[in-house]
Amino acid sequence: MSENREDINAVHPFARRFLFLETKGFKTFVFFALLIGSLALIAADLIIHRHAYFTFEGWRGFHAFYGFLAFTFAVLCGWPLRRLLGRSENYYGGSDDDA
Amino acid sequence: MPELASDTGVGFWAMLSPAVPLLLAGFLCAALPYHQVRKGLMLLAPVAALFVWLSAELGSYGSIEVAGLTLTTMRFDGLSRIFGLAFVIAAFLNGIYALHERSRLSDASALIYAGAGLGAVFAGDLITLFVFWELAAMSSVFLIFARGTTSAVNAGLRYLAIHVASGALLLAGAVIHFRAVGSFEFGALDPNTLGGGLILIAFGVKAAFPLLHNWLQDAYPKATATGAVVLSAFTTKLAIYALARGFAGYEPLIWIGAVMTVFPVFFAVIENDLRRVLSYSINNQLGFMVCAVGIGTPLAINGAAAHAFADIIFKGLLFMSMGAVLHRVGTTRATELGGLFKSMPFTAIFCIIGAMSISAFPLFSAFVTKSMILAAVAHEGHWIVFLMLLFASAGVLEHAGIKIPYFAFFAHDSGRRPKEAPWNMLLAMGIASALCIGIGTFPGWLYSLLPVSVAEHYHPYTGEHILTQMQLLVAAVFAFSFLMRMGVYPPEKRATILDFDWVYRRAGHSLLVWTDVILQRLTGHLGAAMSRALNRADGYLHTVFSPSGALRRTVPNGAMAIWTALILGAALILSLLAS
Repeated sequence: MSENREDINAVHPFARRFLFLETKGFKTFVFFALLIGSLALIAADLIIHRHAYFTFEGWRGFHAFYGFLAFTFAVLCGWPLRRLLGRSENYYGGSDDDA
Repeated sequence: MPELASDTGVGFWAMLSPAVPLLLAGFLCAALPYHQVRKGLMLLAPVAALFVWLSAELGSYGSIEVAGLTLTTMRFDGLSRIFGLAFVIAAFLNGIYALHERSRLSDASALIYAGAGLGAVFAGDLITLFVFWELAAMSSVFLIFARGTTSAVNAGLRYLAIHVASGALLLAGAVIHFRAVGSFEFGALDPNTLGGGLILIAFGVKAAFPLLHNWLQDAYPKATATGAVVLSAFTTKLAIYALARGFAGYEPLIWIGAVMTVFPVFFAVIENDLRRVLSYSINNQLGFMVCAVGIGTPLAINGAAAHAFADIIFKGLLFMSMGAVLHRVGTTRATELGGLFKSMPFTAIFCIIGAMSISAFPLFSAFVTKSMILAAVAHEGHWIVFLMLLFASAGVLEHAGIKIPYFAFFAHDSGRRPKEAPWNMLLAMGIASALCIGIGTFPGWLYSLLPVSVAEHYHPYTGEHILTQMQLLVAAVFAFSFLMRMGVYPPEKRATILDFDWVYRRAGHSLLVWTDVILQRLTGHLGAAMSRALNRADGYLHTVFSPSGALRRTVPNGAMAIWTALILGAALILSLLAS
């Protein structure tokens, strides 16, 4: 990370110790930590006895797979939806307030 | 003259509605030009309301006789008690959050709006409910107008029209209900009657049912930074309270709620304005509550009330964090933000706490409230609804849990280095954060306030609940990380995303314009045709009656003589035959 002196001065003193959050190495670490975490939670499902309301809910790792697939599906639907529903910012006439 | 009925047996404070201090302070603020005094009132009034709430005893008080009707202004029972407390807390937090703001209009409307919300919650009859229902609509619109832009004013007018219409439906339904049953009492209502049906639609408008929801995403993001925080607390939660009071166990609400949880997820993914994303998130969370009201079991009603309580605080917190961003940066568009944690680290932390709360991480508030609703749905065997709610749980993690904090405070560094939020905003966010963690960590005190007494209390912290919830959340966060790494997460783009309001904002508007043009043309054609017909008639009259017309001629022309002879001849023959 290349923060010059002027940039560092603009950074809040409390935030300076968290600048590592932006590094590529940290993002890679988070990716693998989440992957291992997910696998560990699925593995824990083999140990912890659960009471399932529905048959599918009792499948090992069901919530993990469902969470991953639901999230992925919702996000990937964004591509066609934006094409279908996206219009220019002035579509309803007049600019938005935040501009 | 309205007469205060004698509610004997309890003290004065126990009879008073907690709405009274807020309403009085609100009307006083409207008249007071002194900033400090107004701010003092904004803090003192909720404290006084809390005192009144603490003094209240279960029962119905504050009866007023008007035109032969007995109106109950203070019904303090399990359901109104918990919603009332949530509204008082929200009003207090809003007061702190808005301390820096110098706006008499906003101060007064925020207090009157909160008072109206409380008045409606404690209303024992439909007429009192209607009065406060409309007051809430009319006072809250100024929080949108206060932004001062043309689009805010237009959105405010649309908001007002829709909410006044909701009030009109409520009043019409109340009157029809009264004619059917002879009482205005606000209790369980039959949605299959005309009166009950109209009231249900009125509640549905305020609860932002699917296809009736667009006022929310239209108006809230256009309100002021503080206005959106205030708005997020009362209107929709009042509707949830009203639904729970009037229509608990009405099965179609299960499906309406389930749809409400799912559809906003897709819109929120592609929305660029983060306050509009939060507005979709309100829809999503309301869906859980509406679904629970539809289930109607004690666990479900308790879940709806508990989740509404938690939602008022964590949604308020998220709106506060985005309000702080708007206050400092001037925009909440994701495309304009990023990297703000460097200069607004405390706002970022509070936003993350709100995000974790709404996502239902263990130790955060929604973990102990939303799970009650899911358990109630599962108990009743609604497996499709259960899967929809699980999908929505992953969805809310996406847009409110990750998108809001990530794109505002991290992601691509926008290079902006605004100052940290003002101290009062930080204080309000800090208290809201503490409440989110407090509720999530020690849910017992919230459970003790729940409306329906149950023999066996709900226990959120079981091994299997923690495990399944963490599976869902960690795997979903991993999906985000995975999609970002693969470069397939849709980038934020400046755009208007069409929703159902296109029907009245574009198609309806175009239809009106088209009708106007057609009417103008039709009027033109009709005018021309009328003019031609009049000219022709004038010509005929001139031909006949003018000095040179036919009637002035002394000698009949040949054709006329022949026709006269023929008709006379025919008449003669007929008369001969007849005789």
